[in-house]
Amino acid sequence: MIDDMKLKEVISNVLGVSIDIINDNSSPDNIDKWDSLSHLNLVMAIEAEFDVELTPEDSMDMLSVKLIRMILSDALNN
Amino acid sequence: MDEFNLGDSYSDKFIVTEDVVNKFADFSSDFNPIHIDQNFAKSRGYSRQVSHGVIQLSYLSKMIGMDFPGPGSIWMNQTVNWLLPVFVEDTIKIVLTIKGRSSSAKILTLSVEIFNEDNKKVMQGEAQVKITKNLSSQLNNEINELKDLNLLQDSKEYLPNKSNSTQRVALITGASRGIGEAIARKLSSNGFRVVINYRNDANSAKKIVDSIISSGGDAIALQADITISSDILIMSKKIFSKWGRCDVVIHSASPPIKLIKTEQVKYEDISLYLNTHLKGAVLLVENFSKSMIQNKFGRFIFLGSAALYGAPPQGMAAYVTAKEALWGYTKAIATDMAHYGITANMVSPSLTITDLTSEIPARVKEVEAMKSPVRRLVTAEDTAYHVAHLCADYSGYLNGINLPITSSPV
Repeated sequence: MIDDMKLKEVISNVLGVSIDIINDNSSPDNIDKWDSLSHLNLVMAIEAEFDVELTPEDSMDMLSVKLIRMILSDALNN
Repeated sequence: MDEFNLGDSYSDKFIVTEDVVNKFADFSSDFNPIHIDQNFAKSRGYSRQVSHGVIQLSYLSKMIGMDFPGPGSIWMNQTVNWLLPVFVEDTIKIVLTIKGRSSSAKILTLSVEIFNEDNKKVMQGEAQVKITKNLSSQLNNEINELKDLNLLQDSKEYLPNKSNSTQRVALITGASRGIGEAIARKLSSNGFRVVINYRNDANSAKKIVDSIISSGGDAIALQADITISSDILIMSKKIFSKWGRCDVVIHSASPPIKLIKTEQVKYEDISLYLNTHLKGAVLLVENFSKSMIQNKFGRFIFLGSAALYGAPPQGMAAYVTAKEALWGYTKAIATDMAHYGITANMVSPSLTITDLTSEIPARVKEVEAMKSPVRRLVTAEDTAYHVAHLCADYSGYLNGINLPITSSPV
């Protein structure tokens, strides 16, 4: 299981947005600060925080919070 | 052209009134007094005014253009030999007889004879008339049918199949679930009688039939394994004996998609899909195209895949290879059968959530949705809507396309 609160905190810190507005549907579509540069920072922060190694494909597929959780749990289970 | 035979003839009578002669003089400025002045005519030895000979040709023009051969005819050549005068107020009878016909040139040679009231021949000649072909006949018929029903005014109520007095029949393979089911329901709501083909799941097929019938439609469920020639033959016989026709065939049956690494793909993996997609399509065309040719109308629609556009997704070599083969066959039908009124098209949705794709991981589906410009996966209903469009009578010019239902440029 992924610590949902921990994930939201990482996203909130990296993107500089309030934790309250982050939900499953959060994505670059609705968070202006989630651009291609901050996305790389986000991926690196997730790797560090959850102690996991992600592939370039994983990074490209992390198109929403819901997807981040799915990909992260795949990576943690392998 | 076939309706005109050697020896066929047509005649009509006209009265060359004084009014006609005067109008012709006005129109042509031919005021030669022999045509319009009775005393002058008498002074030259005629009892009454002699009508303009060309008036006879005007009536002849009317007959050729309006009656025989009729609208669309082009009068190419005419010889004229006037034998006796036609007087004002005479009744003349013009007789046309087919003396020659060339099917290849679509030209009729007509003998033209004109008789007066005493049955004496006043004119003898020969006409050549070209029968023109309606280059957009199907479209015009469709537009007229739509106009009859006022459907062009109200696109919301546009039920394409209702434009035809004969209720069209559509066969949908693999219709017991997924996209096939959605297509069957959509076509039924558009007025088609639908055949729900299934291989195993008689229960689901029956439920769909019941639900269609309870909402006022007409449907039957028929079991057939699309890869078995005799199954399709028997199914086609059942459809023809029940409804006497099958205007639309939609091939959506497919084995579930299995992801296999390309280096591990065996020919058997490919032939599993080839059998259903390609062999099934060939058997369907074999059994249903003859009746479509007779009816001068048919629609073949094959389900393709968005994997055909650009680089295919990993692990789908077997599936993509078979669908690509089917696309080649689709193009051949589109090219070779369109002149019979039969169109063939492929419809290629991107990843749709159905039983077919149950083995594809949820994460892949989620990524696919987020990569779509509209941020969602295509639904079976999205695809059904566009398939129904291709099935319509008005879609005769949409042929040989692979329609992407992908929400993005391909």
